[in-house]
Amino acid sequence: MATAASAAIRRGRAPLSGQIARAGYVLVAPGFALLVLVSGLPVVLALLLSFTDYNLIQAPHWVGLANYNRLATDNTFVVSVERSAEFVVMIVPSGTAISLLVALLIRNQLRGMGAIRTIVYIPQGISWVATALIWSWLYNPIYGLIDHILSLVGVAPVSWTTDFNTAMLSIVIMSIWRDIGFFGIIFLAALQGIPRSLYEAASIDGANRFASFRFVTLPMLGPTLFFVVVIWCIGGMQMFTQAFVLTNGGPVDATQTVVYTIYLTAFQFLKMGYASAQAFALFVAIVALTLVNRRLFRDQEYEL
Amino acid sequence: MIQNYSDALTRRRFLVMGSTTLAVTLLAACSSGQAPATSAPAPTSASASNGGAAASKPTVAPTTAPASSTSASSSGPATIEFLNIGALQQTVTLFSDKLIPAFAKAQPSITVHMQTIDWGPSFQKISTAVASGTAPDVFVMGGIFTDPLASKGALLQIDDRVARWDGAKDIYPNVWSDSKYQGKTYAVPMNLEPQTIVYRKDFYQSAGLKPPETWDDLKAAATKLVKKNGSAVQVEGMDWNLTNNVSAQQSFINLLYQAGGDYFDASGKPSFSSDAGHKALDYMVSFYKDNLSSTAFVRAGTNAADFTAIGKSATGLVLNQDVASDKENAASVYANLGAALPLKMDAQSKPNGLIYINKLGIFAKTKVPDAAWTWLTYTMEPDVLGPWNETLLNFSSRKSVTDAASFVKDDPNLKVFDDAIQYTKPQSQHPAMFQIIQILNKAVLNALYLRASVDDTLKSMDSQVADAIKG
Repeated sequence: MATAASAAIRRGRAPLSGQIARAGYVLVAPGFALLVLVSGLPVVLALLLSFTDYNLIQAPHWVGLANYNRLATDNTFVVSVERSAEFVVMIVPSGTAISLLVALLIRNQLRGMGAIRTIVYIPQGISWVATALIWSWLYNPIYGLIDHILSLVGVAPVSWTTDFNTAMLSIVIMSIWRDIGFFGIIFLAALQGIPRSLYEAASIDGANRFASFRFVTLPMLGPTLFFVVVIWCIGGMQMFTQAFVLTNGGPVDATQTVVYTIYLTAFQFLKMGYASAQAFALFVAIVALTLVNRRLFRDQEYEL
Repeated sequence: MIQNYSDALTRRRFLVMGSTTLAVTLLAACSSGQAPATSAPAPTSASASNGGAAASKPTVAPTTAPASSTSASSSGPATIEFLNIGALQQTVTLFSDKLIPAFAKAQPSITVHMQTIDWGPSFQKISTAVASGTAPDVFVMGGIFTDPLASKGALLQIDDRVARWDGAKDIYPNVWSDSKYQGKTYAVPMNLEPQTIVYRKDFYQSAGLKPPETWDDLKAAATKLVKKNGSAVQVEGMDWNLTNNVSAQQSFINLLYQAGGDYFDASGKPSFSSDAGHKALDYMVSFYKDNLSSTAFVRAGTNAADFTAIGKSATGLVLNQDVASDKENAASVYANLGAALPLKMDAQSKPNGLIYINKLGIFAKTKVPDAAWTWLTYTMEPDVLGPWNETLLNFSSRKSVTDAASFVKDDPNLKVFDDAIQYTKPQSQHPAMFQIIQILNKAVLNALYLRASVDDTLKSMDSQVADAIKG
């Protein structure tokens, strides 16, 4: 019995009597039912809708794979995938690096560091809509603070949100500003979890500060880096509110991301079936991206 | 230990806990998820007989609602859900304090609940409500709502009712087309937003120029009045009202109409790559090629300033609302603004411009169509429609109301906008119009940003719009 119990524990399952197990199921059942109702069922329904021509008002008709076949030839969708990828490529490396840098700066136990940490985290408490409205003022080429400051050093006004070359960049800068607190705090927690003995050992071995960072800090941050990169990739692929409020997807389609296209298809053009197919394509892309990240980080851990 | 826990958590307790959880969940699910409506229920007989607090206030509403041959009062009490899209705070106050109480007094058997929503999500709100069968009985509709909703059976056809309604004759005749789908009427025009030329009087006078009437006039004035620092435009010669919405295509359609073109040919095929389309887009793009206008000037987000009003452009293409807003918010700026009739392509042509028409529609599956029509026609009464539109700084669809509105007749610029209405026509209607205007807007912007040639842009418009029509 003890052997069976310990084997079960090793497998991650504690032995339960039938009555206790039933009690557990009963307790879990409401939450599970709610999850199925508000999350599982809509996903299944959306999958079914993706095979129909549902327009929100009239009854849907089955169209087979027509919506999925259309995805590859729909230039608007293809361009929006490129825009989302562009956003991810721009924000993930820079945002991760800056968050880590901020975490390294604020981990010191200096006087007033608590207040600085609070200030860094404050943007995270502001909604995306409010953030975008604030930044639309900052980016304004006529009244905006950023162009005013640039003009003091002789830089010509930049049409941040309406120029093809800077529209996506303006969203990236704003997004990093808002998310830096969240990811910075995650890095900070991970940094504080690294045993001091590792640094002491590295020091004895003659490692300087950079070597300590390269061979102690970074390896120990591996799982956290993976988490931050994955979360930022997923968030980046789903970016919508910033583009909706700050640039309305423009200029032309310079910031029209996949989710923005899904929004237009579903709620402006009332093509729910096709929008569902677009959403599932995005879902597959995010899963693939996550698997790639996992593979990359697994390799990195192996090297270490 | 486990045994003790098991004893404490008996089957009966589980059942009680489960039942309680289920009951709470069901109660939560059954509660109304709707936001509280701005409503003014019909006064009770006591308050009505006493005048009631609201009814005792001065009112601009008629004391009697319009007579209807099929009044709701003949078929018992009715409740109307009214969605007032785009209402401002002063609009809500007007309806809550005056208009709805006055209606309730005249039609005690009809209770009106009003909800408001911004224009942004309004189409989605109506579409989803139609899908769930919970659409408001009467709702305000935007410029291109008619075909997308009527083609899906969401709107009540009202030809017979309109034919019997006296007020129909007072509505500007050229705006009814926006309320029709396949020749049948599904909405009543409620207010109008004509778009025409405004210019800086001080700029034009100092350069000895007259307000532009033709395309050549405008180009010549823009060339003379543009201000640049190197190649960077500092003051535009002409502002084509670029926003982060769909206004680029609206400006293009203005020019397309002036050149004698339209969205579709007689067979219903897209006809943007027509001679008129080429003339219109060539003309518009030439301002950006010649640095008379700049894509850096975009009215986006909170940067919603009318560039002409603030002196960043010599001339602009704007709506009456912009001018009314300039007048209300910046009187000193307003003194420098002049308005002109819509442009003519050349001296031989007629002026032509675009007009946006908001309307009132009735949900096809309303349970109270007669009461809904009674409420709709009440809101179209001059003493109701006028004050309502004045809160929005909009022109009423009834000519007598707009002509009499003091904020219009006492203002020379808004008077020009009023005169411009006769030269305007609305955007074409089509069930896929929401998609079509997005396609056109992107294509026009691509051309204005000089990322595509005029020829390629127009061909692309035709093919993409044809695809959108196919579904």
